[in-house]
Amino acid sequence: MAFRYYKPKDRINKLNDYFELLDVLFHYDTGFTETEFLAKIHASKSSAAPASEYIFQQLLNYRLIEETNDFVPRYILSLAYREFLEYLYQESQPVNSAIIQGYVTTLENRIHDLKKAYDENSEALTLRFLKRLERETNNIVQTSSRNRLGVISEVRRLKLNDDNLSYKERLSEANRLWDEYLEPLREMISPQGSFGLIIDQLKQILEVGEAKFNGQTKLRQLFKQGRAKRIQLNEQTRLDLNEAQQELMPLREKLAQESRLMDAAGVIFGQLEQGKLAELPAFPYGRILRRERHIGLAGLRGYMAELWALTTEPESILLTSKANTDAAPLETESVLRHLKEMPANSNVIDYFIEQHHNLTANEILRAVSIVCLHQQDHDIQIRHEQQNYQLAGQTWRGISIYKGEAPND
Amino acid sequence: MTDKLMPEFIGSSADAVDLAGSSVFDIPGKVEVFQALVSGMHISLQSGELFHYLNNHTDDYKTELATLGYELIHELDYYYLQPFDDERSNEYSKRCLVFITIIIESIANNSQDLVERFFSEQGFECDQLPHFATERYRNYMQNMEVGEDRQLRALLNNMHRSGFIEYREEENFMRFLTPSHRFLTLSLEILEQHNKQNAVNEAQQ
Repeated sequence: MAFRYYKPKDRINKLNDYFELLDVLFHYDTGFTETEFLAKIHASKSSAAPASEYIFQQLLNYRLIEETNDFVPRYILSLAYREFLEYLYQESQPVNSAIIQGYVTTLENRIHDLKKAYDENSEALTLRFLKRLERETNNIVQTSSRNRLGVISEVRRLKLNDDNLSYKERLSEANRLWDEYLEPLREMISPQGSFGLIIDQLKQILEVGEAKFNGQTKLRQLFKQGRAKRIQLNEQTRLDLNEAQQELMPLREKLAQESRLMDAAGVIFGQLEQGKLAELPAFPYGRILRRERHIGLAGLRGYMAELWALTTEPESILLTSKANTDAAPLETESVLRHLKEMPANSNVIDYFIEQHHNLTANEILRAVSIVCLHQQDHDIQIRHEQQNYQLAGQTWRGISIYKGEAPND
Repeated sequence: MTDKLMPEFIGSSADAVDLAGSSVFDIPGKVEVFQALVSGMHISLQSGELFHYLNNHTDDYKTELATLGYELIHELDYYYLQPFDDERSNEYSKRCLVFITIIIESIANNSQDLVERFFSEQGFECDQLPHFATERYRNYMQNMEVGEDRQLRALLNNMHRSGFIEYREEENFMRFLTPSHRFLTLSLEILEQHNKQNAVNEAQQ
C-alpha cells in the first residue's frame, strides 16, 4: 500500500466518522476477515454513505485499521489507535517488561550521547540530547502508568470473571500477570536492577553536565528539569509498581487459597469414594460432658453453686432426659443432714451414692457444691487425686471429698 | 428446688467467695453462656448478647472454664469450647464437613467467588441445595447417613443449634455463619496432611 500523509486533524476526523465501527473492532481484538468487516460496515452505515468497499479502503489508507499476517488476513485496529482508545477508556493493557527494557536501552543511549556531547564541549548537542531525554523520560513515566492501569484493569476483569473462568484458570491468569508483568518489573526497578542502575547513571551524568555548563542559562535550566524528571521517573515507576502489586496480590492470594479449598474438596471426596470415611479427620465436638462423662470437680468450688440458678440443666450434664423434679433427694437441708450423719473419714460422694440410688451427675454436682460451701462447718477435706464413681451404670471421674481425714492408701 | 436453693446460696455468698478464692459468681451472663457453650454451641456476633457477655469478659470466662477442664477458644469473631487433652472427633462434625465441602465445590463450579458466596448474607434456598442434585453428591451424603430430605433438615437444625448456620426452615433459608470457617480450616489441614503423606510416599519409592 502506498504511503499517504494525512494531517492529524483529518485522521482524528476520520476516527470520529467511523467511531462506532472502530469501537467494535477495539473490543474485538482478533479482528475480522475482509468479508466480515465489509458486512459490519454495511450494517452500520447510513443509506447516503459511500459504498462499503470505499469505506474499507479509506480506513486502510488512514491506517485506522491494519492487515494481519494470517493465512486469511484479518483486519484489526491499528496499534496507535488501540492505545489511544485504551487511554481514553482507561483500559490500558499491561506493558511487557521487554518494552520497559527497551526504554532502559534508550536511556543508556542517551547517557552515552550526552557524554559524547560533553567531551566535544558542544552546547548545541547537549541541548538536543537533553530535550530528547526529557521526551523519553516522559514516555517511560506514561508507560509505567499505563502498565499500572493495565494490571488493575486485568485484575478487575478477573474479579468480575465475565468469562466464567474456573478457579484454576483464574489463578493461572493471576500468576501469569504476576510473572509476565510485575516480577520482571520489580527486578528491573530494584536498586540492583537494570532500571535502578540506569537511574543512578542518569543522576551522575546530569550532575556532571550541570557543573560543566553552569554558565549557560538555558542548559542550566534544562539540567534542573532533567534532574526533577529523573526523580519523578524513579518515584513514579516505584509507585506504579506498588499499586499494581497491591491490586493483584490480594486477588492472587485469595485465588490461591480458594483453589486450595477446591483441592481439599477433591481429597475429601476421594476418601469418601475409597470408603475411608473413618480416616476422615474432624474435630472433637458436641455435648462434651455427656460424651466424656468427666466431672472436673477440681474447679467446682464456687462455680458449680451457680448452676443452682439454672432454670433448666445443661443437657450435656444430664445422664438421662428425665426432667429434674422437686423430689430430687439432695437438697441443701438433706445434704447438710447427711454431712452430720455420715461417719468420720467417709468419702462424701460414695456416701451420697450409697444413700440414694439412681442419682444423676448433676445432682451429685449440686450436692458437692453445697458441701464445698459448708466445708468449714463439717471438717471437709478435698483431695485432688481423681477416682472413679459409678453413676447410673456409667463411670465418671472426679476428685475425692472426705469428711474428716481421708484414709491412707 | 431452684427456688428453695437460691436464698441459701445468697446467704452463703461470703463463704462462697472465700472458698472460690475470687469473685467467680460475678461474670455477667454466666449461666446462659455456660449452657450454650457446654451444649456445643459456637457463639459468634450473630449470637447477640451471649457474644457480648463473652467478648467483654473473655479472660474471666477463660479462667473459669479452664478450672472445669475446658479450653475456651476464640477464633475470628466466635468462641467455642474444647475439652483439654481430647483430639477425638465425631460423626456429626464429619457430616458438617461433607455438607460444607459439597457447597464449596458447587459454588466453584458456578464460577462464583468462593468465600464471598459461601458467607454471603443472601444465603441459600434450602430446597435448591446441591446435596441431592447429582448422584455423586447423593452418594456422599448417603455415606454420611444423610440420605433423604428429612435427614438433611435434621442436619441443618443441628448446625443451626451449633451456631454454624442460620436456618429458617419456614422461609426455606439458610446461611453460613463465621464459625463454619472451622470446617474450611479443617479442609485445608486435610489437604496439607494429604500432601505430606504423598511427599513421604514419593520419597520412599
